[in-house]
Amino acid sequence: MSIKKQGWFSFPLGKSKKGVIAAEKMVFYLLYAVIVSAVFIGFIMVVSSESADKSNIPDGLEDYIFSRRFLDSCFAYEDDAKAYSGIIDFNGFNQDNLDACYNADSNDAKAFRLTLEIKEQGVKKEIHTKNWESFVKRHFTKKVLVYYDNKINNGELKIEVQNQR
Amino acid sequence: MVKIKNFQHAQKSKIFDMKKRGELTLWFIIEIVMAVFVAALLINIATRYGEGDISNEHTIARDLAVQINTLQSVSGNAYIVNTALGKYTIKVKDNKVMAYISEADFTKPYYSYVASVNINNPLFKKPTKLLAGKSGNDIVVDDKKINLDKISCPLVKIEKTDNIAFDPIEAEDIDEDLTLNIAGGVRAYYKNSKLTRNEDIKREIDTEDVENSDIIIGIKLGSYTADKNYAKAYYLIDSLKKEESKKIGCEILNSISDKFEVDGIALIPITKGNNVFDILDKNKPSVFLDIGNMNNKDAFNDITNRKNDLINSIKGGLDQSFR
Repeated sequence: MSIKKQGWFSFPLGKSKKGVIAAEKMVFYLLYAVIVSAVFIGFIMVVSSESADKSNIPDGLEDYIFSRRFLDSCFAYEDDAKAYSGIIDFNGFNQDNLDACYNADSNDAKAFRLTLEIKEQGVKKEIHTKNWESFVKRHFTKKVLVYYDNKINNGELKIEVQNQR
Repeated sequence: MVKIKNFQHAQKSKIFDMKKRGELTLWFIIEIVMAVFVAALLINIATRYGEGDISNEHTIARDLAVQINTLQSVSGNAYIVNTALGKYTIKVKDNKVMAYISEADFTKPYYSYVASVNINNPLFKKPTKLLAGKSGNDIVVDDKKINLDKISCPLVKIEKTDNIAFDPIEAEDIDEDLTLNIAGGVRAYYKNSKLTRNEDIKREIDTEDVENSDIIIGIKLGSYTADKNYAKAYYLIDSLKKEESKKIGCEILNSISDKFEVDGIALIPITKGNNVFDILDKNKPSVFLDIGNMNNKDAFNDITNRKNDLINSIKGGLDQSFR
């Protein structure tokens, strides 16, 4: 006479056939659940990714849009009469203005590091968005006009970009 | 005795087998439910994919996010009209745009934007059109209209204070009580603020009241022959607190243009010399408001009948300038 303790995760120690079948079924159900879930998630990811690809933003469009923001809006030079789109105010090119103009904390959004340089004047300034991390994905340079020392100078704006995740 | 024991054991085995059978049946039911659930979801996704819903959701969300990012680059005011949005609900919240048919759909796509969007209600259910615009400093998403009269305000920070001097200023042919009431109405919101003239708008003001204040705001109801209706704010061009003064005037004008029909708003730099502007002080944020045109019948009626709206607009703009 032997009374064997049996349960969901305890295999029978004796020769109970019914117990072995129950355990085998348990394993089957667990594997079944895992495989179905994985296939299901995979299917959704494939469909979602394919749909996202169909409505993809053309390469470089977002970089262009954000570079216009930095040139025309964030650091645009302005006097009492008007703002001058396309002319960067060297004094206004600072971290506070960048944070107010491009307030991104997370990696859901692109990150930028900006370097403004006026070679003739020997001045250079570097700032970056709050979500900037230490690696660089790509960069491009733009020739810009910079208001500095009460006159308009030729300068260069280097824009380094990190993609969103 | 042995028989009894065997009988008990047999009973226990029977109960155990029944239990096990019950558990297996339960698992079988769970399996069926899971299969039905997964099949339903797959069919749903396949149908939506086939009908183009998933692509449409991606496209709508992406387009709106790109539009918001683009509008932030615009130096003036502009808006974009989106139509043919069909059966989709659009949600603009927490720097993300989502488009979907069912809120419960966990595959709904989202696209991020980086901009400060001013939005009253983030949910647009099956909108026939959706406007995305820039007005002043604000990006606005709305399904009705966008106020394009706003101007861009300086981003300078102003320390919050309730020590403000309000100066109601007399204008020709205007009921002076109205100006006094409006200035008094705004003053009531700020505990330590002062009204430079309480009863007689023509009397000389107490300069000490003004000198001890952190901010000075002159309030005058406009009166000119042209039929137009403008709201204007003047600040001293040589003020040491020029950006702060501009910001206060700008935010108040934007707030007024949100609630009142005006032909335009303007932030105007001036130099001292005109008695009317004597109240302005170049050492502290100070602005002179010239609101509406009381010779314009519609503007007159609007301000007279909606005095409290004007008071709240001025207060709203002033509070906004502290943010």
